[in-house]
Amino acid sequence: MITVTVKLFNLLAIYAGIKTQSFDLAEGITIKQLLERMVHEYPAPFKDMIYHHEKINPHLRIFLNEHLLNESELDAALSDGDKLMLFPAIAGG
Amino acid sequence: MKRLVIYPELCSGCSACEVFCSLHHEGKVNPELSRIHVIKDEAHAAFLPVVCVSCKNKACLAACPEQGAIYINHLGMTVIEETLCTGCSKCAQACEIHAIRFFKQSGRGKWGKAFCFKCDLCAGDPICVKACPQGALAVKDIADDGEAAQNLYEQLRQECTRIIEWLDERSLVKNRRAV
Amino acid sequence: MTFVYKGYGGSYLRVNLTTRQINKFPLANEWVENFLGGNGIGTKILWDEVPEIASPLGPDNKLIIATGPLCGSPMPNSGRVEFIAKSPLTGIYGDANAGGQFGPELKSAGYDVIIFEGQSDEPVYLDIHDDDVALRSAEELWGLGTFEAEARLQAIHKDSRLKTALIGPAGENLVRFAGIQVSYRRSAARCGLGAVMGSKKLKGVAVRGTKGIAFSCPQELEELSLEMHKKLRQNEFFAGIHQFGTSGLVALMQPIGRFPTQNFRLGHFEGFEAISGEVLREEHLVKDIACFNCPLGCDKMYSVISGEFAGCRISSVEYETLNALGARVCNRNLPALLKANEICDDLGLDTISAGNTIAFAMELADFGIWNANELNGLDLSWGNYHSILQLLHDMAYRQGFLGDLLADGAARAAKWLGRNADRYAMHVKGQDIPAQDGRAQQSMGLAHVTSSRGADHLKAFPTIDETGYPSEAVRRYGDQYLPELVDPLATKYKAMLVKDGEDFGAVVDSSGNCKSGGTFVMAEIYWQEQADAIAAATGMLMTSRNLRCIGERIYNLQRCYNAIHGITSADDVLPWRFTQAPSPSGNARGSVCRLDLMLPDYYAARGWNPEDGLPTQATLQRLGLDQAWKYMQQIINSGKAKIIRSQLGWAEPYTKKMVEQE
Repeated sequence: MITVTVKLFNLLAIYAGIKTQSFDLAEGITIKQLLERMVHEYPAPFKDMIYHHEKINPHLRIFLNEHLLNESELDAALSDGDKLMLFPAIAGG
Repeated sequence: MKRLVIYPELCSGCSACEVFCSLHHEGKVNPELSRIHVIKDEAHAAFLPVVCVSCKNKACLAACPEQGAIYINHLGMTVIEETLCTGCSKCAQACEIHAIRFFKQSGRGKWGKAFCFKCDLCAGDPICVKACPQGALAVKDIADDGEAAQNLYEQLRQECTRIIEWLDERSLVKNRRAV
Repeated sequence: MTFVYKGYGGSYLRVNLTTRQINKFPLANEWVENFLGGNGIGTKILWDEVPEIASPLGPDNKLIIATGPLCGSPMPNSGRVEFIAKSPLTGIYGDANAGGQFGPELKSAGYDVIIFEGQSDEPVYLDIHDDDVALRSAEELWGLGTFEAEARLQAIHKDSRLKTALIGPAGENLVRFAGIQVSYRRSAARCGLGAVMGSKKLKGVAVRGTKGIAFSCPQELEELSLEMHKKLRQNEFFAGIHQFGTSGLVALMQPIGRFPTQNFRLGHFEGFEAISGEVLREEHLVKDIACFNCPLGCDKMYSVISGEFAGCRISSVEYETLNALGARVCNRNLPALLKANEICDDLGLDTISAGNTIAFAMELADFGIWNANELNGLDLSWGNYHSILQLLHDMAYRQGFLGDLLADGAARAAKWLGRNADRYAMHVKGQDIPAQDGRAQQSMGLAHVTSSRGADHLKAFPTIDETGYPSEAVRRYGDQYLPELVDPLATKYKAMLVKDGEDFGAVVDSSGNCKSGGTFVMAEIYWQEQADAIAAATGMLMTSRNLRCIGERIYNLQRCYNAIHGITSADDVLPWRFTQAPSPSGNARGSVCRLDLMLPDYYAARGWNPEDGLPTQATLQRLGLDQAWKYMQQIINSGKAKIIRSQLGWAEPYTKKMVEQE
């Protein structure tokens, strides 16, 4: 088992009703699989922020240990102690 | 019948309703000439969009001394025939929610005289509702048994009185008919 | 000459504060044809009327208030008003822009522009009620904070709909980063234009307009605008920005290492959650409010209910402020931060410059550069929020040694002090650097140095490469520049992005709509949409090509204005921290800002001389600015520009390599 911490921001936190959550996961679980699990755990509007036409929403911003991930990196397996940060579309000053 | 319903707690005070109403009816942007009017007390972050809700009493109708200057149209909405209005402003004074407005600059208005004006519900598809970004305005079908409509009116009247009292306390009101 | 276009108020006021003369003129057709409005017309007037030798705080400087053709229009976010003058902070071109309701009200009274000139010998305010315009005594308003002064003016005129633009004590006391506060509680903060008003003894402007604004094709404009409102509401970015405003950016900036902390030593702030937009909304929100005709409503009213700062009530708490008075000075106490924001708005200080100046003072304290008697018992250790609040007050009133010295801004204080203090003044051309870091987002570093008003993010406002939004980039520029264009750490194509942003931004600031609305982050309104709206509003023949030319013309004239004050490529530099000290943070770890790679691209894209970074004759001729070229040459060749440059008063940004003394 590994433990991964997920921090949700902005609308994601509002829709999920939680800002930080730890997940105990089987080894080998990928980021995409964790997202899938979160979608099932949180109320419905959360799903629309994560997926867009069945694919990962291109406006979703995912940081793994403060490193910005691109889509191809979402199939990587998570490690114990990893920290994820998730943001919906925001930008500005 | 179709009525405008107002949710003041959602209003952000942006005035988009006034902008689009005046543009739509007068061809220019001028909140002074808007049929919907947002009473603002910014210090309390209180915003109240005020517009005719077709109340039961229709005090405006009774107050008008001119034949045909105010009538009820096919939508059940009281409408002012601006060309027949003499600008005596008795209707505006009769309406306790300030939903009838008075253009008093004699000789400078579009009719070359003072006149009163109010919401005509844009033939059932009001532009203010389309413009409101906050969902603070909606059109609802509310049966004309008078009861529900009168409740809407009463709520607005109370809210209106409260805000104007706040403003009055700080001497921010010159003319109660032109808040 | 009669003014032929619709969509404008149609006239301008020239107010001479020395003679008390007020004159009304029709707006000049060639002003709007060549410079559109707002920022553009202001730049043109500044160029024509405020000579290079004019002192920013003297009678020869002029303050120009200007709106544009879309201000007060049905197009979304149309409440912006522009203030232009020579800046007391930088000594060069200066402007500041605000939302709220003042701009539309001024236009509704029939005026697009007010030019204030001369200096009054006693406090006055300008009272405008449609055609009635008068200077009135502001004796009883002088010394009041902006909140009280606004309420007092509304009570004097018995009108809650009166809109004001006011200075607080900071402007009166000629604090060089004093802002102008606009109804309701919005700030035209940057460049110290509040001090220009203070020097003229002009407390403010109170305006009531009931005439309205007529348009060339009202029906077409109505349809176009309604469509735009709808598009904005459906935009991917709308909901998040609507909920949190710019404060939502605090958290996002941490992992990309772009959240200036401890005077830019770091790019992330341990414990940032305490000052994040999420906590701000959860614990302090009173109500979502909005500027004129804005569907976005990034403005919010906040309050502090309990504790030491109970009773604090403050609106529009921006990302910039949360950084400048938060992370940059290591302050984690959100109620204290809100109080600091309230003090700035009420006394009339730019929160960015105020925070940056305090960060400078704290770093000097960290390195033991202050003498004990200078500190006078004030504890300037990082994060001491009582000291922050004290300093804000002292700067606004120029009280005590520190307050008086720091009221001139970090860059001037550094020059006066010596003692290697220049190493810790984070500025470009005298202007305090806002809450971005060119190491973490290369385009922002370039934007800071090429901005015509000194370090600024809002001139170019590059946002598509913050965390990289390819879809937004493709909408504007096609896919030919991907992937570099949206990579925050790449330098390729960033000159193009910055130049385009500056030109389009100049047009937006000249039109009177908002850069936080549909024009930048939510990329719904671009050259074509803006041109269509201006055409429908004014009846001008306006194409996107025309508009691009106007944007370039405005930005080039601002550069020319700076050039006659001796500004050249030598001033297009960032302090050492950005170019010499690798970022220690997040996604940006190890990165420095590569101005050396981007600036040559930028000068080339602009048609500026790669050596001195100034517009060439060919470029200015193409833009119809031949006369400007001649004048610029004359001032530079006579040696006058160099002399003026030597007297601007701020310390040069320190650019040499330095080892962090941590």
